[in-house]
Amino acid sequence: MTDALIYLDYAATTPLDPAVREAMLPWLGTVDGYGNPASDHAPGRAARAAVEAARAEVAALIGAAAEEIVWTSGATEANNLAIKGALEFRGGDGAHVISSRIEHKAVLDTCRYLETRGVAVTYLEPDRDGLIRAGQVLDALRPSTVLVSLMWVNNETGVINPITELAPRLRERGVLFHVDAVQAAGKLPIDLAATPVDLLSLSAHKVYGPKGIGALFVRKRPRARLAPQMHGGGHEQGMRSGTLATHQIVGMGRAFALARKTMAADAERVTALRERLWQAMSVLPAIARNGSVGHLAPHVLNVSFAGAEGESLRARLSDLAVSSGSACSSATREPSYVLRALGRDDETAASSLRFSLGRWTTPEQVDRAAQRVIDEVSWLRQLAPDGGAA
Amino acid sequence: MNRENVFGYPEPVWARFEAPARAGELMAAADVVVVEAGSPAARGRLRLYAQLAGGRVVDVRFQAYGCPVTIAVGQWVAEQLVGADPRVHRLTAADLRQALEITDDKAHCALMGEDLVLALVKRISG
Repeated sequence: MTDALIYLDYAATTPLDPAVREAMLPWLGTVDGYGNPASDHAPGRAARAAVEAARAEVAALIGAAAEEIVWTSGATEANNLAIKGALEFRGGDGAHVISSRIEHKAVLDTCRYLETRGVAVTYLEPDRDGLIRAGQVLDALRPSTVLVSLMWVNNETGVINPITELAPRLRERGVLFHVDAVQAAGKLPIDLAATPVDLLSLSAHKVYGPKGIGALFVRKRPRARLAPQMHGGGHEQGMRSGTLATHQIVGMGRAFALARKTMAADAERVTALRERLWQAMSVLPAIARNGSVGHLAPHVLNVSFAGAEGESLRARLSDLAVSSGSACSSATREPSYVLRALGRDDETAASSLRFSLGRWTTPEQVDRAAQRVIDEVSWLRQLAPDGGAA
Repeated sequence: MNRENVFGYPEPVWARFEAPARAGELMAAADVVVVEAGSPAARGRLRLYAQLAGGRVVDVRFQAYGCPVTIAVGQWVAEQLVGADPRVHRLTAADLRQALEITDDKAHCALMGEDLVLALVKRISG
């Protein structure tokens, strides 16, 4: 990363916190720290103790008990285990699942896979502000509904879904509730002791932890039952076999412990920076914010810049690391399906940028990023026939 | 501002996209013609302002809405037209693709450039 580059893509991934790295290093050593946590000897026991301490830290951030945390390779695996595991345990034939059009692909593609196995899936539509209402979910319930899967915070817009309102309503109807909390953990208070979610997916690398490690919260009381998706040595209470990656797990534990300490202050600071960025860019005419301003997680700002073609805007802003709604920025080469679900046309979706801020974002970076965006959007509009008006 | 070609556009495209010397417009005048071409699929648009003298282009500017290749195509066409008679010096999509090293997935941008030149020839030929 060069000095000139401004990183505003914390929702994609976060740098490893130096304290997390420090905590991980002993577990990558050749003298000790290499024991298999499943082994019953001194190095194995030491590794197991470290894994269990990390489990307790992850649980503490979300108001869960340590034994309710199952380690996975990341949130994609956690989402797969939750959704496929729940349906397989209950028997998928004739079952109904409710999700939404703005979920992460790890949920959407898992649901689409289930459809090929005889499961009926309802994909709820968000409103223009990106919100899924609790009433929409309740109206979509059928006698055959076994699972609702919704994200706590949308990764593109930052909009917060009404999870705390919805969870008790689903509990009283006996419907399992899975929540992808990847963008919520460490950003918003999560208290699963008070919020009866059954299954909740977590990732370390969005919270200044390492890539390659995540977790699924699986409620014990009442017990959420899952069919394992990874068979083998019976690790993780039989729900996820495979030798535990001690260094990764220790990293996730330290990252979540740090998040618990800094979350409130981080949220206040990052929210202020996000609004500073928006205010600074607001001198540009014809720009629009995507996502309900009253229901936003601290770290995300999504803006459409009409008249500035998305691919060119991205190319001219090569000194900013931001996410583009442009087709050319994604592996699938389709304009953002989330923004299209909010009713934006392809062109508007493509001319949108997601700025996501984090622990090391400074006011100076925000001001410089805003000026760069103003300069390049103005340049592209000036270059366009009729100022970019369609 | 020195931008980096992070996304790996062909060098002839990047140089023109980064600093398109002929971007802009010419004041409306009797000897200035304005032609346009578009690519509906890619939502690209090129507009050319050409000042003519005896069928020759004596000054030219362009405007563009589209991807970096579209902008580079506008600039390249403008460069080529200065001092030329477009009826004689016919520019084609193949010329554009070769000069700017345009890949298959951006072939429509080269066609837009050819359409722009054809529109100009048609206007001059009247």
